[in-house]
Amino acid sequence: MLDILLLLIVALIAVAIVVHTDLFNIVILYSIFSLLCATLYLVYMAPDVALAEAAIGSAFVPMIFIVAISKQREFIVLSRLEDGFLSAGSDGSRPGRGYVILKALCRQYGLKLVLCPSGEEKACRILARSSADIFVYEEDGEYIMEGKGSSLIMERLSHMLIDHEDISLVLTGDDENYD
Amino acid sequence: MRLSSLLVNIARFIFPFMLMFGLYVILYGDVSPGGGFQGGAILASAYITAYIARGERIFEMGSLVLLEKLLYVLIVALALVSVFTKGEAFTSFIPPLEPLNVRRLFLIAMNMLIGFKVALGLTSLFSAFVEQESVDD
Repeated sequence: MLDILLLLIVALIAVAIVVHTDLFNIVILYSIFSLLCATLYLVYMAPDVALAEAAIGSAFVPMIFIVAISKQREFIVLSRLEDGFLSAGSDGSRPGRGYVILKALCRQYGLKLVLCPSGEEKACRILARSSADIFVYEEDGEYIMEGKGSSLIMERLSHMLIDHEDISLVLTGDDENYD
Repeated sequence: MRLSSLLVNIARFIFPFMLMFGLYVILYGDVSPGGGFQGGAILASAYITAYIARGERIFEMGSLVLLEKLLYVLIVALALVSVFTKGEAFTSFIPPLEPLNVRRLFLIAMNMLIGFKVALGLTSLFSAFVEQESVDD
């Protein structure tokens, strides 16, 4: 009787994991799923497997997922520009146009905007460790933003750039890397 | 990572108990449910709680991986001791006519080696994720 009830709840939570969109909720649900599975193993008289499932499935793997998700919360912009197109306007001047657009984009998705001016040693190091989300440079008086083509954020950004004639978005393939 | 003080204090409180339970599961692996792998996984979870409590990494990753490789060699070496006592590889090196308490020693030693190897492996896996974390210093 208990096992049928548990199986029903496990099936419900599995559906909830597929339906949900918020990543943190999914991780918590996955943790609950693993804990219920461990209880099921115990009901079916496999305490060995239950211990392993409880330790790895409901503690270790969700923690790794949480670390991976918190890494994803940053939107890294690498620029090769000299003018104030991307300046944050912290010294009293008006913020640049590109900065306003990217800031609005980041606010929509709850991301943290990280600007890396090129030509410094730090930029190279960041690029080597994790490739930047967007690369901004100037060519023939036109600003060009280069990003990976597959992500949903790029689609949204191309919608935002329709009104700006002198800014163009170049999308690279998913398998192309900067290095 | 910025964490709430509630989580940090609970992690501090629960850490010694997790460590003790992991060691218990490893040491009593031959008579009760659990064993080397399960106890090692619990020890690795204990390391994660220690990481939450301190907010910074505790071990250097290179030494962790090196120690794990060393333990792997030790496991194979312990399993091969039976070649000299029984003439057969990968079995217990203690003769079967010995009392039960003596024959247990092989299983306990094997469980401990496997447990620490699993704990070190999962810990280095977690460290690999964490060390890539901070982008701006």
